[in-house]
Parts: sequence; C-alpha cells; structure tokens
Amino acid sequence: MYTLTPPKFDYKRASSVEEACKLLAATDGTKVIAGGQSLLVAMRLRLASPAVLVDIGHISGLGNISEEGMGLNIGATCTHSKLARSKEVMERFPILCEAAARVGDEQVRNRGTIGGSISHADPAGNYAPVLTALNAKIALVSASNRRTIAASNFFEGPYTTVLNGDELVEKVILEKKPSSGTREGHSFMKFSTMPQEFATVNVASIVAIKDGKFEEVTVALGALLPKPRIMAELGESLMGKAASAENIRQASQELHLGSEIISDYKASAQYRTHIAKVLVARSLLTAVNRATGAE
Amino acid sequence: MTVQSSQEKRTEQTYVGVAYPRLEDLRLTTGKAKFLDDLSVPPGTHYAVILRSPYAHAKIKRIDTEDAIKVPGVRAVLTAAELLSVMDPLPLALRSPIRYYPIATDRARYAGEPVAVVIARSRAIAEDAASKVNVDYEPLQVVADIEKALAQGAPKVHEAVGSNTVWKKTFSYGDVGNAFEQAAKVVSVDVRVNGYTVPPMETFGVVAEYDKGSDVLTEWCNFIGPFTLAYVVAKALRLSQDRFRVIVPGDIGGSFGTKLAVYPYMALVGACSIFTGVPVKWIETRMEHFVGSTRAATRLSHLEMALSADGDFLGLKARITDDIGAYPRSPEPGHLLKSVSNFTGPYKISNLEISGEYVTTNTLPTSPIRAFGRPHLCIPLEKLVDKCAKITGNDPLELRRRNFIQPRDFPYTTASGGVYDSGDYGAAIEKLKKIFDLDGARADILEKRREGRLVGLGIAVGIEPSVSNMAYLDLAIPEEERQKATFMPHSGGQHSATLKIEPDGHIVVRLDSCPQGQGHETVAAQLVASVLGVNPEDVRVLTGVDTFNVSWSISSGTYASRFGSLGISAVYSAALDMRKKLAEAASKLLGVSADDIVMENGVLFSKSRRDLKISSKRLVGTVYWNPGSDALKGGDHTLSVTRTFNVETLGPATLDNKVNASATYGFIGTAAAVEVDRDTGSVSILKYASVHDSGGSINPGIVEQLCVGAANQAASHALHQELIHDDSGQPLNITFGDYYVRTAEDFFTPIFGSAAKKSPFTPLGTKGVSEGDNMTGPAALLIAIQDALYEYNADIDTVPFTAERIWSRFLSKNNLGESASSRSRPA
Repeated sequence: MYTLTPPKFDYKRASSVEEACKLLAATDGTKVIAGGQSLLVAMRLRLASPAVLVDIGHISGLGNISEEGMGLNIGATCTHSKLARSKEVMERFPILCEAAARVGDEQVRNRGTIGGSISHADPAGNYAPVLTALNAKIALVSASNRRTIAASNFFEGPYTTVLNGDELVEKVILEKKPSSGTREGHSFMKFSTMPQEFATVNVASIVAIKDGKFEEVTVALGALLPKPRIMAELGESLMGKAASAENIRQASQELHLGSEIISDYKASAQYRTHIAKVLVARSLLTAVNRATGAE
Repeated sequence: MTVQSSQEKRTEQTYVGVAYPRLEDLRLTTGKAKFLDDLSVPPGTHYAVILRSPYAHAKIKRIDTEDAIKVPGVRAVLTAAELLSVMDPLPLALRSPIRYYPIATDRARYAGEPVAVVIARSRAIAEDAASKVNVDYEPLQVVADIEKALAQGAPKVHEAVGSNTVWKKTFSYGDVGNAFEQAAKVVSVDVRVNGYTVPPMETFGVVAEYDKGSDVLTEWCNFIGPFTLAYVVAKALRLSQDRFRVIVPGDIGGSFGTKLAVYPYMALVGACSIFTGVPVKWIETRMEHFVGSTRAATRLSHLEMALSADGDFLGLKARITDDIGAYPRSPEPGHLLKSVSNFTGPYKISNLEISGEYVTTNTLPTSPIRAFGRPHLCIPLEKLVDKCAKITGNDPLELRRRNFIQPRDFPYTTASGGVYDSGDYGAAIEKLKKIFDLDGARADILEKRREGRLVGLGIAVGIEPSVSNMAYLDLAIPEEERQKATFMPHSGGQHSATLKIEPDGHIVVRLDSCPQGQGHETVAAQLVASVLGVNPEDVRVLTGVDTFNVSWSISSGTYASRFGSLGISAVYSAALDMRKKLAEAASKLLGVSADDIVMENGVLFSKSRRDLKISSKRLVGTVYWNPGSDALKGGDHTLSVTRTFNVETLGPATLDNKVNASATYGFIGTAAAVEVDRDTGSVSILKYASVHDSGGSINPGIVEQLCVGAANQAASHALHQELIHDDSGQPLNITFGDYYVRTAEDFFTPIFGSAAKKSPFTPLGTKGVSEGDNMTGPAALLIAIQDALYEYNADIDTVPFTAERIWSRFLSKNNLGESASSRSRPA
C-alpha cells in the first residue's frame, strides 16, 4: 500500500514531563512524538499506527543543554541543529556536534531531536556509536519509575531499545573525567554515497594520548551492525602503543566484526566490513591528529 | 517598435541574448505557484487510491471488494472487471498482440501495477478502505532482468507474444560488411546501463471530471505532452477528441521527461470518473512514483568500430538489447529509435548497422527520461572512441577531431537519415580545452599521481538533438505495412504560439508548452518585447495547455528540448506578424504605405512625414472600438495571431529506414577530472566543464542554469542512481532516502561554455539545449575513472559505477595496509 495519510489517531500535547508520562500510562498504543522526522514518515506510510500521539515537543525546558559538574545534560527535545551549534557541547564533547551536524539535511536537523533519534534506533543513526563511545547515560522516565541506563545497554537492535511503552527519554547525561595530563582527540565519520544519505558505516573514535602513546582508545561502530558496538579488542591492542599511523593501520586491519554485518542493496557485508576498517583507521588517525594538535 | 527593416536588428537585440531575471521566479520561490494538487477541484470530487500488485508476476484469481465498499464514504472500488466496460487498450507504437491497459486484468506483470482503485470522499477514507480489499494472487515465476528474460525456457511476461522479445530489427546503412572487411582494426566495447529515473519533486496527478450531459471528459493533469499521447488516451476511453478536454496547469513541479508517462493514469482516472459519474482526483505518492510511474530502459550494448590504419572510422556496428519492463508502451521502442538518426554522433561514419531487440520483464514499464535513450548511446559510443584512441595510439581528442563532421559539410545528412543543421565541433573542442584549462588539468593530474593518488581525465562529446519528429516511431512498423497505400505516415514536430493585443493595449502570449521550470515565460516575453519594442514585464505569457481553448497540435508539450528551437521560432513568427498587422492598421489610419511606418516610444508615424502619427494605444483602441471607421472598414485588423512553426526537414521515414528524428542538432563537449579513493572506490569530481552549441540563446542565464542541473543529474546517474530490484522483481529503493537525488547542498558547479553555431533551420538560429550533459556527463566520468584506474586496466562496463562496484571490481585486490600509505607512482 502506498499511502499519504496516517490512520486515525488521537493527539495530545503534554505541557510537562509528568503529564506526558501520565498520558503514556493511560492508553495502550501510545507513542511519543517530538520532531516527528521519523515517526510521521512511518505513520504516513502506515508502517506505524499509534492510537495516541503524545507530543513532548512543547514541554518547556526539555530541549535544554545544562551543565552538571564538568559534564552536560542534553534534554530529549534538543534539536540536531541546536546540538551541532552548541558552544558548551563543542567545548566538552565536540564529537557529538560532529555527529549532530551530519544528521540528514538542514530541515531534518531543525526539527529532529536527539531523544527522538535514539528512541527510533535506526541502526544507521549517528548518535548510537557516539553516545556509546562517550559512555553516555540515558535517563528514562515513566509515571511510576525513573531509571538511568548506559548507552551501550540502551540499544537492542534495529529500531528496538530498552524503552518500555510507557517510558520516554528525558535526557542524555554526559560525564567528563577530570583531565589527567593526557591530550584528547575525537572523530566521528560517516560513510555514505552522498553526504546527506543514511550511513552505511558510522565510526566514533575517542583517544587520549600521553607522551605520544595511547592512554585510551575507544572506537564504536554503527550502521553496519544491528546495534552499536565498542571495538574493545582494538582498544586493547592499541593501548600503550605509540599513536602512529602504522599502528593504527595494523590494528584496523585486524578488526573482527563477526557475522552480524548488515548486507543489503546499499552495500554488501563484504564491502561494509572493508569500509569499517578504512573508516576506523581514518577516524583514529584524525582523532590522534586532533589530540596532538596536528589538525 | 519599428517596422523599418534597417532598425530591426537594433531593437530585436534589446532583450535577446540577455540573462534577464526570470519572470516566473517570484511566484515559484514564494510558494505562490499553483501545482496540480493546489488547483480547486470540481464540486463533489472524490479521491482515488490505487491498490497495486505486491507481486512482480501473479495471476489475479479473485478480488474481494466487499469489505472495502462498506467503509463509510467509499463510493466505489473498481477493478478491471468494471473499468474495461468503459475502456479499450492504450494503442502501442509497435505491432504486438499485447493489450496494454492502465490496470491489471487477469495478471499483474510488475510489482506496483494497478489492480484496483478505491474512490472515496476523502483520501484518508480511500486509504483506510484500500487496506480492506482482498486480492487472491497466485504468484508466477518472475523474469526481472534481460538475461533471464532471454534464457531458454524463460517464463513469459506475455504468453500471447510467445517469447519475451517484443520487437527485433536490424537497420543497415551503407555497406557495413565491406567496411569491416577493409578495417585495419576492429575495436569493441560492452556496456550495461541499469534502469534509472530522474524523479521530479512534484509527483503525478490527475483530476478527471466526466460530464454526462455533454459527454465531455475534462482532465486536469501535469502531463507534459506530446499530445499524441492525449490522443492515445482518448482512443482508450472511446472518446472523440472534441469530447476530451485536457488542461495542463502553467506550473509543473519538475518532470525530466517522466511526466509524459502520466498518460496511462489519465486513462485510468478518466475511466474511473466515467464509470462512477463523479469527479475523481488522484495524486501519486512518492513511493508510487518509484514503483508505478516510469523509468529509463535497462540496456545492454555491444558496439564495434571498424578503423582504417590511419584511425578513420569506417563503420559502426551495434547490438542493443533494451529491457522496457512489463509493457512495450508508447513511445517505445523510442529508447533506440529516437537516436537512430544521430547514432553515429558527431562523427562521419557512412556504414552503420544497428540491431535492436526489445525485451519485456516483470518490472516497471519505461518511457522517455531526460535525453531519451541518448545516455544509453553516448556512454558506450564515447567509451568505444576512447578505446579506439588507446589502441591506435592516438590522442583521444585528435582521433575525434579527425573523424568529426566538418563545418563545410553542413547541412549534413547522416547515414541513417538525420539532417544535421550546423556545427563547428573543432572550434567547440578548442573552447572546451580553454575553459577546462586542459593543459593545466593534465599537469595537475601528473602531480597528484606522483603523490600516489588515483586521478584521471575524461573527455566525451555528443550530438544534442532537439524536437521529436514523430516519423521515427514508424521505424517500429514493418516495411510491408508502411508500403501499403492505406498506411498513414507520421511526421512533424510543430510548436504553436498565439499573440494577442488586448483592447487596452496589453500583450498576451499563449504558448502550447508545458514548462516544468524551464523559464518559457521569461524567454517568450524577452522575444516579444524585443520585436514589439516594449519591456518583457509588459508581456504576459501563459503556458500550459487547455485543448478546448489553446491552439495546439499533436506534438504540443515540453519535451525533447523543443522550446529552444521550435517554440521560440513560433513565438518569434507570431511577433513579426503582429508587428506587420499594427503597421498595416496604422498605414490605413494615417494614409501612408505600411513600409513607411515607424514606431518609437509608443507612437507610430510616417517616416516621410513625421507629423502623421498615432499612438499605439489609440491604434489598438481604434481597431477594437471603431473597426467600422472608414479607414479600417472591410479589412481584417484583429490583433490576434497564431503561428505554428515546423522545420521542413522533419519528413516521414523512408522505406529504407532513414529518418530525421530531430529538427536541430547541437553539439556538446564535456571534460571531467576525477579522483578515485583508493580505499573505498568513492569518486570525487575535481573539475567538470561542458561546452554547448545552442545556436545562440535568448536567455543564456537560463540555459546555463538548466545545464548545471543536467550536469549534476549526470553525476548522480553515473555514480549512484539505479532502480534496484531483487530476484523476485521487488523494487528495493523506493524512497528519496534510498534513491538519492542531489539537493542544492550537494550540487557542484560545472564550468559552462558556449560555442554557438546558428541553425539555418530556425529564424533566430537557436537550437534546443540542456539535455547534453545527461549524455556526455556519464560518458566523460566513465572515461575519467578508467583513466584514474589505468594501473588496474579498468574496463567499466556497468552504469552506475558505484563506489562498491569500483572497489570490488578493481581496488579490492589492494590491501589496506599498502593502500593507506602514500606511495610514489609513475605518472
């Protein structure tokens, strides 16, 4: 069926998180809407048919970016544009700005929100590998409960997360360790035929360098796997080694991605695997260059 | 305005050749233009939703509409069972037992083929009800590509045909056998062009209102012509043409050829209105556009060139196989036939043989997409010429130049009957070298290669024909039939324009064109303003067609780049006639001869006696309000002129299969420098330039804008756009998220050059322009990428050449460790 109109649904606009939670708890088949950049498309194609939409897009303060110690809290309805241009985020977690700036096109970035993007959990989404690499926490709230969950546990697979039907994402919590004399660098890279297309491979790399050696290496891959994955072996193999192009190349080549690689008409598993290795090497090199001031 | 011939040049040049700001842009860019979905609809309009087959090939055993019809607000659920009572098959251009209806009858032959239409009070109700229509399908074996369709024992898309080949023909010109015997060398290439499309922003739409009282069906639709196809629709709906009114709005939201294929839906929605008696509106969704509108053909080509020892092109042989989807609908087999006249491009090749085979598959049917069939031709032909240069050790540009048709040869008749109007291809190439800075680009490539980078250069040239001479489709008809006295040959490609001066002196121009952003209003206003000595803003230009109110012909519409050559000529002819009429009326009122009349600053006067004068306002007023005056009595001074322009060379096809399919033949040369990412196969365009011969432009700014768009489409087509389906014929990339179309953010700016050579066939020398890059762009990029991959001996044989294809075919042998290091390479 090729439709243009969503099936009938009810629309409620929440003026507070509490009200939104109450509305979510009240009826089955309720869905949260903020920017609507994925949900409305799915509804118009009748791939999603929620009975009730609870709009959290007008809850005041829910899209704020606030400081919490050295870290930041990013409200669920913060748009990609706002995130991409935020000075506070740029200073502390520039990789998040980099990822936000590469979501869709300008119109999508102006409407779409971080909470919506991660709740939707498209495997090709930009935030999943970045938040996983940053070891971010996601605060979830419902009428009866509040919980905080690590990003690495939040995503369960394509379009599935740990979110219960009555829960919503309230904020993303980013903590920052005090500097230990290392120099940090980061890099987010997205591979797609055209810049605004969905990614076939996403990589988030974060490194800390001390005396020319890797003190910390975190690489998370997205888009080619059902959910984001930290490449722990890669990190371990580089730890303590010289932050050289040669070491990076070697480690990237040895990357083991397993058998879960997504294969479709956009890219075969073989090509995605290859691109992942290329992209990991490139993003690590960029991260190192940024850490050492070479870029 | 002046009637004095010595001053003609001066005034006519006022706005001709000027990049005048487009008059339609304010409306278009501020959301004030009205597209099909914005038009008011007749009272009682119902909305149609089309239920489409989910199977690429299936028997339709039963359609249960009972539950759907019960949904409140549903007027009817129509299937072939109902609609065939008011509809006959849509006539085909080729002779075939296939009956093509716009709705599946007993079988669905592609995934997306209409199976039922739900008609309801609102679109939402119709969509709700459509999900309640139950169709009992029996899936059949699918043939989704050419190779499978041609295999021994392949399932047949149409049992009545007996095989999947619906048309096969060899055209031979000159003595090909001898040419190949004489050849010192024979060079061949193979290229596969996958199915693709150039989707417009606005999707298809039709509003149909059948009036029982008058037995008239009126349709508002964003159909772009040719109106031969409106005839086809009328025929299918059993209507005489005086009972079928087609109204095309003045603004269409893009087309790139696709909206020619609105016509089957004009038949379908029209039949729904006739059957139900209510007005019916249908707007296509984006996904429907991908599965149910149209596409360009998938083509396999094998080309062979016979070369003399000196590198002269002695003969060309081509074996073409086109997959045209589930039905060979009109104007197929145009993908091949439209290019027969100019098959040999800008080269002098007197011996030519073209073997064409048309194959049906369980995929979306085809129709013209920007530069109809010519990307399919230009890509292999230019790849072949480039290969000839390599094999004979010639510079590719020099080899081309050596075989070019020379300026002294024009008008030049090709082996297959094309009549090329004018050209200086050598000069155009010189211009291309200059604007591209060929020497600089070559040095830059050597420099980058020394850094180990995969960079390359490609040049491709081509002929850019404009206007469609319907005669080309007669080549699809067997000679025996064409020989009969009863056979009615087809020809022509005329364009009409009506110019009227209103009683208050305002000028209105009515075109029979259906522009989709090409700026016809501005161009026509510039031209009329120049002839009549007013400002372009004073000329109101109306576009779009209303077959009950506009002077139109079967070739009306906007396709095949026809406005730049024929459209402009019709407008110009009408403006000259109007000027003459005004002079005649003035001469009578002033009692002097018409030759003696001059107009300056809104006053017409006798140049021998300047005191004899009349203002143009009073003149026009007198014609309207006082035609019974002694001076005007008895004469025809109506200030309305309709002129239809045709080019004389557009004759019928001959029995030896020669035909001149186009009116003017421009030239385009494209140069591209690219870099291939050694690790990923991704291609970056470093530099891109095209030189166009438009014969001269009324508005060079508009021409350049159109070419920027074409170059970007060319890059998309070359590098990533293709319609992908799985083995079961299921289309996979049917959203803009999956079938990526460049947006303004992604656009690159090509270097634009003009090398105009006036056409002797049009009054202002103009030729059609702007489809050229769609042909030479992919060809130049292919050649450039092969050059960048010279160390891999890359032979690129599939379009698009995606990053993954380049990587897996050529680069994957190179491991990452080696490739990421920077190495010195010989240039």
